[in-house]
Amino acid sequence: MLALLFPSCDANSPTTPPPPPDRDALFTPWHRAEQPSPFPQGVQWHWRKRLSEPPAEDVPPDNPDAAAQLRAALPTLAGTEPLETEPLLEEWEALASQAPQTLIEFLDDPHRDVRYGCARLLFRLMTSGSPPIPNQLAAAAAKRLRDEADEVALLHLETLSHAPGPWPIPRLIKTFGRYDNHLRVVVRARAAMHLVKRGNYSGFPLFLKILKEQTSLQDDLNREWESSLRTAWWKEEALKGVVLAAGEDFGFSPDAIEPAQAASIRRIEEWWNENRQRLWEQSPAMEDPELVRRVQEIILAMGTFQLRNVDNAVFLLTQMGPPVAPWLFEALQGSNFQIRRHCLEILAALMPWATEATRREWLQELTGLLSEDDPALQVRVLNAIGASRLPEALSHLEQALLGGNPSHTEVAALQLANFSTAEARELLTKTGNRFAQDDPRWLPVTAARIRADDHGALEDFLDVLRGGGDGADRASIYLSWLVDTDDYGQARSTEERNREVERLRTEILTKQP
Amino acid sequence: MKALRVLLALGIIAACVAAFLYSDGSSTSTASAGALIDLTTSESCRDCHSEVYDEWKSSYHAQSFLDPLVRAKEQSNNFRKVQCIPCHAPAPILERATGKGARVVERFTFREQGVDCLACHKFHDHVAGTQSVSGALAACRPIADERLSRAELCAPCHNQHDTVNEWEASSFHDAGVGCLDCHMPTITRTLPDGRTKQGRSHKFLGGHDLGTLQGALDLKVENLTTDSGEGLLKVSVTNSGAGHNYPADARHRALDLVVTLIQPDGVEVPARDERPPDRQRGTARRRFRNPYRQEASRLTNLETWGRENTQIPSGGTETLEVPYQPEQVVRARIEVFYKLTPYMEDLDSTLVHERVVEL
Repeated sequence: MLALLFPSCDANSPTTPPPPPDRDALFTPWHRAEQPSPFPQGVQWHWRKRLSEPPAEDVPPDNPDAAAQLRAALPTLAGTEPLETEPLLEEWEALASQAPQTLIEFLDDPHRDVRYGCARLLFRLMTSGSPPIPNQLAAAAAKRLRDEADEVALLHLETLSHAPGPWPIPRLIKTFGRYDNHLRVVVRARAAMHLVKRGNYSGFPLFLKILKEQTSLQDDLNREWESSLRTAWWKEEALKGVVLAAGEDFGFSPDAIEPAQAASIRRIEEWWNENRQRLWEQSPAMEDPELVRRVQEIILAMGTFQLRNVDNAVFLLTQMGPPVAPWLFEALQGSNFQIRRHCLEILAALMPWATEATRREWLQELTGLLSEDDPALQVRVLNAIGASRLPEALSHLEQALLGGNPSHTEVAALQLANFSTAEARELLTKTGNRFAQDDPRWLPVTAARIRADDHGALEDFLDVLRGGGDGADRASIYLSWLVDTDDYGQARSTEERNREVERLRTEILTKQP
Repeated sequence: MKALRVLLALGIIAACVAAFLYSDGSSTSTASAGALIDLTTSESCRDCHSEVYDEWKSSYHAQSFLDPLVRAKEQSNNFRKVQCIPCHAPAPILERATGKGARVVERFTFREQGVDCLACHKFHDHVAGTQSVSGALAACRPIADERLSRAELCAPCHNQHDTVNEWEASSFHDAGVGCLDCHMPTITRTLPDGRTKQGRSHKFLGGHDLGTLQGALDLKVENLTTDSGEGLLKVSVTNSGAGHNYPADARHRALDLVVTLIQPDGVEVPARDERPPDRQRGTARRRFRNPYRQEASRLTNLETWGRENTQIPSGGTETLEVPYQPEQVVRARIEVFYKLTPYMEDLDSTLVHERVVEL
């Protein structure tokens, strides 16, 4: 009888959603069934090594005589002054061109002088006009960008920058990757500059960060040197990148007093904000087969288990900028949930770098994905749509804000707060006033209102934080929308909590939009 | 129509009675059976499973999103490091995939509940349980799912740092001892009406629990004399009770073995190797840990700690030998500290074992 009353309640036949449609037929053969995968599950990819692998090219064997002479000659570099060895290197260049693989062997010599001499020889070969195996030479340099000697690493970066084709782009991006340590600031700045030469502007924020440096760029490391000289050098290098991109230095000088530096940096930021979409729009399309192959592999890495792989892949693809979008949209046609989810995240992150026309094209494709069956993907589609900041996205966000799905409400509220338009702000205020404080949607919408500089409900929000308990726990999650850091979670007593709430209040009210 | 209404009413009454019979009886159920509950948060489970809920609430699974150590600036910075979110506030794991190659997905709402009931039990419109019960008898419609008792459910989060791999390579795996046997042991709960009921503990005891830490690690101290007449204190720690490395899982953990030699006047013998002043406590110290990539430069004692993974594998023994001059030393204090982060000082950490040996 109960089964008649509740036909769907039969324990042995639960209602499970149908399997997702097979999209692999639409996707590239390379991606189909993910086999053979270059990423064994559970194994971390050695990113620097992999990104340094050269494209296939014919590698003739070294001339035995030249190799023997080079083997005898190169160790003599140990203990000699670089200036003294310059004529020798000039002399040995002909040998090295006949025995490049022997030269590459010596790039790992334990003696710093030998490595430096070999790096110079490698650079000479690469820039000689007819390098014997250019991709192999570039790859040899790419694999050694973390040489412990700064001068060697920097020289290798220059050699890599002369590689034929755009395949080194991901490797150059990796030099300022999220997990790199911060010791090699100049290597990172120069890598960013070489990316600018290749039409990739992902390093521009790094230039700004370096120019703003007044204390310690690597504040999580122990500095053991006097900082001012070194930071001046960093700034010189970053400024070269700015000049390359903008054609002017905006009057910046590392020797200028701090307010003067700040004024120049403000001008650079203004220029960047006004021009970045135009610059990215002029970036070359990502069509080189070798680069595309690498991009597709990196996309595939987003479907693997180890978070380090995934984080690296998301970072690299994001830094490749809007030109990578066609490959992300292609991957969205596949069936791997994790890959699709991360593609949507990256597209949302790329929106601010794309021109209005490009965003409109992307929005059109994304709107078609709103009918996704997977609720977790729906949220990310909505997020990417909101990130477009286009007026036509507002109706989708409004619908999501007022709908009954709390995940959609949260994402829509945050995106509306980021819109920075009167219309979006009004929508948030109107909706926020409609929800009672015990409505689960009140907190995210209120936090979004505050983020959008509507402080009408700020005191109510802070009261929830002051009150402690479950409500405050929940409210504290939204602090990441309002300030860059907070100590609310560290507060152990009511007094500490109230003090932190007061600090937050001041920071929120004085925060620059 | 009237007949249908009667039928419906009878059905609801029957369902309510059945729901009471099925529930552990520890609280008054407000979820009427048949009318399926809304599987939105752990609160949905509380009415019928209040004791299990309370255990979970006291666990670090429940605190995974609010734990101050996790939210600290140098850790997740209140989850501004978004890649931390999936494991600290996962969406229902069973709905995606389980196993060592499966990655969890973050939840967008109610993140403050951390690894909530639904993270492990929700499966679309019903919950996964140890036994199947008709939806008419239990509002959450439990359906038996063996994955709940397997490591494959834990792996999506806990194998990011190889814990499941370590377990598979251990004798615990060969003996059929799984994750649940240690971290969710079978317990007997006494219900308010006096009845008892067996079930799995939902406290998920591990690195935050002194008993679990002590039970898994043996400390052995031998006082020897060398051929040259010197004293030699041989201190061994054995990972005898964990089916994975000790310390395990999150790379934040560290285990420090400290041996302090004390002179007749009560003064501690200075450390025999040079360390930064704030870390100079013991006469000898050894750390067991899988370090962060950049940890060495932060700790400034690279020479002492090194970069390699020194966690103690399941069943493994590590020994610290401390030579001493018998005429100069009368006593030794041996301490084993478990640290939730590598930067934690001894006094802030958990003292797992302490022994004083008269020499």
